[in-house]
Amino acid sequence: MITGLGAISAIGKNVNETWESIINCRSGIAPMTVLLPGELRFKNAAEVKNYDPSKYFSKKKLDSQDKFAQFAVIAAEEAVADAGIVWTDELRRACFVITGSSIGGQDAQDKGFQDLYIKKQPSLDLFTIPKTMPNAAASQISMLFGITGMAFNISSACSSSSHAIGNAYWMLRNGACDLAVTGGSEAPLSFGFLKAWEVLRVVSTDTCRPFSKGRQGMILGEGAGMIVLEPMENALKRNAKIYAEIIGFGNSSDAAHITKPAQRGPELAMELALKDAGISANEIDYINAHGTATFANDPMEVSAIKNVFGEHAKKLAVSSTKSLHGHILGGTGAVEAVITVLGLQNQIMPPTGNFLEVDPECDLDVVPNAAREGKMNYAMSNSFAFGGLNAVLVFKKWEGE
Amino acid sequence: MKRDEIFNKLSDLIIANNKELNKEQVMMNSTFEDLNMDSLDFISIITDLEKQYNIILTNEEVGQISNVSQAVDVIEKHIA
Repeated sequence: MITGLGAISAIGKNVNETWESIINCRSGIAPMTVLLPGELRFKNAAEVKNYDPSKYFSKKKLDSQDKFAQFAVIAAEEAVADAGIVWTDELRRACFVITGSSIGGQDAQDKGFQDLYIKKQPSLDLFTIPKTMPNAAASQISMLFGITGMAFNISSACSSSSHAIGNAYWMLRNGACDLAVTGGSEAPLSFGFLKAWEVLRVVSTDTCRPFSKGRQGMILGEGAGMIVLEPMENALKRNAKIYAEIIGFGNSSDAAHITKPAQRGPELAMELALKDAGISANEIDYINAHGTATFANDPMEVSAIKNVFGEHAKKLAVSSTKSLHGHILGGTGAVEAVITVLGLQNQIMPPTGNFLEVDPECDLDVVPNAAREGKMNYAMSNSFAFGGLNAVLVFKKWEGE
Repeated sequence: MKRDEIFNKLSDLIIANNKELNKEQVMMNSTFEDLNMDSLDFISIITDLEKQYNIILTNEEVGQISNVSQAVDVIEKHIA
């Protein structure tokens, strides 16, 4: 059961703001404010607006935490407070922290390289390693709450946080832990990393228009999503507020190309997620798509959905909220999980923003430009990463009080 | 003629990228699949051509190129 949510991204610094943006189809994509020391072909990104880390962290804490870990801690704090967790030593020992981040502290790494190669400084910032290591978020969250159970980070590019949440769910289901704080984060907007994306030609020079004619590619985003998971008996026993249930996790690998997706991989992940959930394809009402708005992904994903869902594909709604919060890479699965769960709770389908015109290769109901009320019992969330690593989650609406 | 020059530069890059191809196999109507090029090979070649001609292709233009002739057309348009 999902009993707590936390999120920070271009569309809101907390869950309420995030949901407000979703139901109003408000995009957080705008010209980058981060200072860049050179030319970049794309100018827009999905940045957290007016982020002031000093409002959340002491100077001492900031010395040892790069942005991606800061976002993860902010979201985790919100989620744990939201869940109303009352910590005991026993609970701390029985809690797992599983985060997803693919690249860790890029700002710190970028600065380190500049200090070393350009400024030729004899030594680097003391906290370079603690800041750059991709497990920093998991460690900081464990330190913050005194969680002594298993804690680690999963790095699988764009599927990192979906893999994190899915694995936490499986571990909880198998009784390996009694509580999980799980999700992911990414802060990819540093110059070196941005240049590396530029050369792949998949980043849009205008905005992110998933499934639409005229789409130009993806927009990079930053932020974090975190959820608190616990077994049903525990949640009910302590009268926890329940948002929704995770009921299935499906995985596959394409075993094909290091960047281009191979359709059978995503299809298999969706099929396995349905099997793990114990429901049929016809029962899914809404899919939060991977929907990066690249030329490669969108038609492939639509075709994969049609193959898995058959005739039912025409009846279900498929939207990509990356149109609003950008592609948060390792953190995107978690932010999308938070949004999907809120959609189920409120019975409102999140929209695909910036939609111009139907692309015949992507002719599903993509909930264009406006969120829509709709009966949803089951929802799916897709993540398909570079290197062919696919992770799919299935959620169920909570029927109880 | 400009088109011939562009075609030759593109052919050279394609051959350099794939040792198993020879010049005769690269024709105007060859698709990149025919020439055993994957998406990354293709992007690498386009990037080289942009540098050689000092032009910038949009993502949409790049996304719509599926054969040699289309590549030549787009580049010719940019240097006109």
